[in-house]
Amino acid sequence: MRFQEFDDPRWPLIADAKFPARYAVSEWGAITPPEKANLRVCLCFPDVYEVGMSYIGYQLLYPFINELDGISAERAYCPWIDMEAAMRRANRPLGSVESDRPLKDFDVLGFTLQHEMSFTNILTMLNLGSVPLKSSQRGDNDPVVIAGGPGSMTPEPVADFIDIFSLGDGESQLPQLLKLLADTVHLSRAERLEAAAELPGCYVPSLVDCYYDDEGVHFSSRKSLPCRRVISSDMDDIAPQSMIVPASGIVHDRVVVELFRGCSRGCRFCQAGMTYRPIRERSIEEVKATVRRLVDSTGWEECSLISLASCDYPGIDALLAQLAGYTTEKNVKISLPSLRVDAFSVDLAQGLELMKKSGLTLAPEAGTQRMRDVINKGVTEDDLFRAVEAAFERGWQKIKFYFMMGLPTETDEDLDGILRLSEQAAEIGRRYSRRAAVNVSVAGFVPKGHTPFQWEAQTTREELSRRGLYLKRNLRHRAVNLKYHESTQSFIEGVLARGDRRVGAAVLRAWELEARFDSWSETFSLDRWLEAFRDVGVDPHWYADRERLPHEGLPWDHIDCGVTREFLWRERLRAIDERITVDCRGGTCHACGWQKRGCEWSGGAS
Amino acid sequence: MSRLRLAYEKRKFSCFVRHVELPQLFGRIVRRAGLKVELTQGMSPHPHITMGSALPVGILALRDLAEIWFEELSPLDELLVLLNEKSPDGLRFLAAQEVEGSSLNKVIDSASYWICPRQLEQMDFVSTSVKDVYGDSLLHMEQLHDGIEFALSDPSQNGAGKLVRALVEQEVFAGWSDCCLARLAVGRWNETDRTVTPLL
Repeated sequence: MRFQEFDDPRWPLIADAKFPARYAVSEWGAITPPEKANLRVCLCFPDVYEVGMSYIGYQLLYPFINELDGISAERAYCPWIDMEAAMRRANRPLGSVESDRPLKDFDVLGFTLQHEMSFTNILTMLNLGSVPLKSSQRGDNDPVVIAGGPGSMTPEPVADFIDIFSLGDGESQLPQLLKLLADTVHLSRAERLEAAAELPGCYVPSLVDCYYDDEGVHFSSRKSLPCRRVISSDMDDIAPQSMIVPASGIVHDRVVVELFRGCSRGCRFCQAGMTYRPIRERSIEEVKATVRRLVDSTGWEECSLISLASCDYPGIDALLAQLAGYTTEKNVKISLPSLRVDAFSVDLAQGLELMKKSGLTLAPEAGTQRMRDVINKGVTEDDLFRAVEAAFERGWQKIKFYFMMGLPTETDEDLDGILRLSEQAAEIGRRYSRRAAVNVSVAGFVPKGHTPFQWEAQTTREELSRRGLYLKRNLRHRAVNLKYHESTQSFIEGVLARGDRRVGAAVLRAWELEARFDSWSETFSLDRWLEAFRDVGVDPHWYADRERLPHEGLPWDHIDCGVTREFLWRERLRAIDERITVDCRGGTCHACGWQKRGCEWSGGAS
Repeated sequence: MSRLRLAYEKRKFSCFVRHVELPQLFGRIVRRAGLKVELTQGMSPHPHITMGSALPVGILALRDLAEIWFEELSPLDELLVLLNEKSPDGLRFLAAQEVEGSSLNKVIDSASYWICPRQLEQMDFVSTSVKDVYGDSLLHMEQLHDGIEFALSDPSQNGAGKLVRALVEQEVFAGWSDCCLARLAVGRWNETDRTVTPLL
């Protein structure tokens, strides 16, 4: 062809794709892989490019790993179903963005387990990359497949497919592991995995057996258990130096700077809040320096200051004030990912131009004080209505509420509470503007491992549907718009969230039956998953619907996230008694387990 | 405040960036280069950048045009180096010129293209289709050994997409992957030479 690019064998496949920019990647800030490297790592994100590029974890790890001596990192994303079909027809392997090197030619593949509905995409990427799906099928010349991220805390459903789970903060866990793998390329796979299992934060499932009886699942191994999560203590030390800027629109298209990791609020439904403890803050000076550094080098117009509870960052208002000069001069807008439910946060948001433009989002999560106390969401009605009043008074027209349904001990009275709060909020709004509106989003609750609710029976699909319809039917106010989430995905999510190793067979079978992009409603099929469970003889209801026994062996007992099972049980009992547990940052340590390991807020408690 | 007209090429994967995303991309390149773009007035101020007529993704641009309003002006050759240092692979700024007067899209009256079917036997079908699809808007066409070059008037009304869609409809092509396209120049039609003279 007159122009060389048309001779690229990928070009015709890309030209026909629904969203070519997913594959014809155009970016600023990617790192060219060196000619020679001791270890080539491919960071594999199990979703499409635009979703993967919105994940801060890989934006942090990518330059970080590339800085490690002799180690090179590239990236790969999951092809959408049209591209997967085209690649299979054309016999083209899945390769990295940077060099199109096929996944099988990397030394290490690193996946992130962001949510259960991404598991089948992991299998797609392995398969298209010509890597055997099961750990047990891989040989010395196959890449070592690692997985990290929040899902590694409950790893069993994908244990068949992963060689090594990396538990905890990648900045602290990975360097040792990658160096070991680089130094042992000449050893057999078995020897390398044995050696890796000795490192902090490494869980090697092939070296851990599990057996099942009436008391649950039990783990045994020559290696010491539990495997403990590794944390990065110094947030200033690991502040990022650069970010990749995609040329094509992605979901979160902005600079992202972490204020702190961890959370002290103790919401009982929240896995992140439990498994990312303890709190580790970045200093104000480093936050400012990082914002400047990243905005200058990327050219992005917006910067989000993120954490699990950004309004809790000490001196958040001072930080925003100190950034104001720079942001005005550079014409960059600051935003916060979520707001605390109180007037303080609304005041903060008011100062942020970007946040004025979109609707204001608050997450009360439950409709009655009783229910909020059960889940330990420390929000009073007073807080909520003051925040709502502040919002409408300061010019917001639309407010969005996030609630959950299917929570433990929930009754229809709590559902009535959701309606009452929403309608009252709309009434407040109407005093300020005729166009005031309250949008309500209600999600089905899925119990997660390593939380006080890990023993709960998940509310069934039928019951969740009933509750959703109840809400819709009893909604009166014209200014309230309520939507609830389709519960079929929540059911499968529930099975995989608290599944054991036996569930892995169903994940594989579902994939064989063409399950792809299960978090996307356009591709998810409940029937396909039910067929998969039937085919492999696993009962999904046993995992989702069943309340666990107090002393039952749970499929994540061998993973130590730092918070003890005793603490979680205490919190469960307090939930049943409707007793709140105050934010431990305020000075009351509740002995979650981190007090023994240097949490700076424990005040010496043990 | 200076209004700069820029000629740029979109080669390799950068040609898959959607036209509507280019102002944002250019805005970021300028910011990375440490330069300041003037902001528009009104409800939501954004960088003052105007694009030439839209080009569908997947079509190379050899010399397309855009205008950027800069707050301050740097020497033009320095400017081009700065912009290119901060541009993604495949995107390159070729020339810059300070301009005033009519808007970019009023000054452009024609554009020239190259198309080549992946199956060379289809060349004649494509030629016929070019004539049929564009009618009077077709200023010139030449069938060469390595493709067909053609020039169209009024590029904002007459785009390359029309041609590909017609060929797909006639079942000559199954999809966009069956042909390769490039926009060669954007500018003013020169009747004597029978060519499109690039504006810049």
